[in-house]
Amino acid sequence: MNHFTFSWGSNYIAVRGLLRALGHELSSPPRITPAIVQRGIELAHPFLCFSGKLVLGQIAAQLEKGDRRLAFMSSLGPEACRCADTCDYMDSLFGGYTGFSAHRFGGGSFDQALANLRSHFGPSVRRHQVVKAYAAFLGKVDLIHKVEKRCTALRCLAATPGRVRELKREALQRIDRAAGPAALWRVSRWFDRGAGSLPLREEGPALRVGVVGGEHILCELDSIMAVIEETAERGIFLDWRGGFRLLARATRASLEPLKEKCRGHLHGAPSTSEVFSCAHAVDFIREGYDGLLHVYAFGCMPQTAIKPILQRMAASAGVPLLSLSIGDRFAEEGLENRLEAFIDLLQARKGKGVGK
Amino acid sequence: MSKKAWLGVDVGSISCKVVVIDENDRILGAIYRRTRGRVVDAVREELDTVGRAIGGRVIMGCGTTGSARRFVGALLGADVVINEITAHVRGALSLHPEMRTMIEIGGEDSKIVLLRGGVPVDFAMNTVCAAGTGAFLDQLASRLGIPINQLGELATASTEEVEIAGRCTVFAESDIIFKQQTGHSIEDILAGACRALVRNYLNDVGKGKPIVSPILFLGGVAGNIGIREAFTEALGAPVIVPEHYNVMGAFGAALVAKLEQRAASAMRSIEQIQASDFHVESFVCPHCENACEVVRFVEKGQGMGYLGGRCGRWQEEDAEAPIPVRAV
Repeated sequence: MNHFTFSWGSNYIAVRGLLRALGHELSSPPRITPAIVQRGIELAHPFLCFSGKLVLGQIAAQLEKGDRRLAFMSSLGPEACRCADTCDYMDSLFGGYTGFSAHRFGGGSFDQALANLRSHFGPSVRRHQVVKAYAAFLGKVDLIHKVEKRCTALRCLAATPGRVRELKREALQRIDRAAGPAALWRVSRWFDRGAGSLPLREEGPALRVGVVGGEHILCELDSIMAVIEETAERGIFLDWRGGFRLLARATRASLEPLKEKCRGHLHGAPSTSEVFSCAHAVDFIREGYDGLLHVYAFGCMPQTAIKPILQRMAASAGVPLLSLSIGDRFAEEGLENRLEAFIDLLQARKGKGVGK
Repeated sequence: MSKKAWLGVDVGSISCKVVVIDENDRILGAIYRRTRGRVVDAVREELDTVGRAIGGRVIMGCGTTGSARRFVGALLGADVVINEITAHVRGALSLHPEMRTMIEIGGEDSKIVLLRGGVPVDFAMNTVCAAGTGAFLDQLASRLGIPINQLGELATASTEEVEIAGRCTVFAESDIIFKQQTGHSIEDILAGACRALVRNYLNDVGKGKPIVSPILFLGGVAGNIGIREAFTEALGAPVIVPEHYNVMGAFGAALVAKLEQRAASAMRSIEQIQASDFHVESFVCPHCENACEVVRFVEKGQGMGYLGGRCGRWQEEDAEAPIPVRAV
């Protein structure tokens, strides 16, 4: 029997890599459609964030199809999200499906990860298998991140955005098929050659915009975030440094330099999600980006908390900031409208030399 | 040689606005009307009026804006299609270059734009709620059985301060019922509702924004004197409502069309538009599991253009697949 998971953009491919290394298979999660969003809304508590609703909608769709074994990776290190460890919540929602079980991978250390896997798959899981499984997972996470980031940049820089979309599609399929580090390395080389051979526009990017926000919603580049990605084709260099890779790679030690960047902006005990957003905003401002785009899931408490802090940082640096709340009452039209107006504003400022 | 004119059309959730300008950016004619859900018919009827108003002038270009800008742009053959925030700023700055804050409240949208030295530096729009917009006033007028255009005047006759919970139109309605039951006058309730709308706007759209004079107030709601007075009171500064406050987006679209004029305008003649059977359909793309909703503009049975779809296939191809459609 296959396991199933929710998508978080293309990152289910990495979870599939982990499971295959352990001799299991993972079904492809359904794409997020209005019906799945609606199902998530019906199931979830109204105050759950929009990312959470998407996850629940996808899980429900698969349970109704007959899948029963949920496998999900929240983090290998500290959680970015206060709501991510929701096994009990899922049990309360889905316990009525006979045979339902939730397997949460990850954990704060190798030993915890090993213990987690053994609790799900039995004591026969060996240490070398776990090493191999997490190597596959992290290798795929890194490569997915590289492909998505580079392709978003190329949609701004390349003369043929349509070919960029094809390259990305093909790269993700190859990452999914790749078994082992050598195969992943070959995919990486193939992708580099393909990306490097694309003809570039004569003119450079008109604007550079740094994207910060909720890591879970930023993962959704293939669905909700598609509208934002399209902005790149107007000659806007979109840079985001968060996403699923950051969650998967974060450790308490790796967070320290980020927290240091946030000194003076964040106080007390901020959540990891707030640290990511604040630290990246500090970097973008320091590097002279033309604007900041703050994207967060409606209902996300850490991102709601960081919003006024980002506003203050942007205002004092003289960098325009647009906060976009993505939720179940969001309409693409409204999102496009705000993005277009923001880009117009940045262009007008740049044209008149404001803020430089 | 014929005199020239440029057309701007702004179609929003509630109303349709058309402006015609001349070579000197002067407004030759401006029309504002409610669409009542019949957008294409409203645009056609307004164009008919415009056709008569411009006399022998030749329309050199056309710009569209508003939430229906794309499909109205396809209907007209617009030369430029721009978002309404930019359109309002362009229009307002042309008439009031000294403006430092622009407040715009329409049927279901509200905006604030901050400008410094004639350059927009920050903006915000309402998020997930229309409680601080014209929809709130429509609901209120309907509940009280008052024509919407009399609401503001009645509010100015208020003699006693009444607090209305304006955070949500539904709760506001409950509160209004309660206030009626407890004997408050309609005038006092209306004035309270105007203050509630302004409070809501300033706590949502205007939150954290330094609102500095000169402040321009635009959009259909700016015609309501009760709201104007509530803004002046809340901000401690006068709000300027310019002559063409309710068609500024259309004016801005016309200005941009003029500025970016092409050698030959793509705009169709008013006669062609009137005779067209243009309509809009939507279908669910069957090509992958994304199941995107795609909007198709149709004329004489042919697809003229597409909106929507995450992969861009419908914008890149002209494939006319036999897909079941439903009228929008």
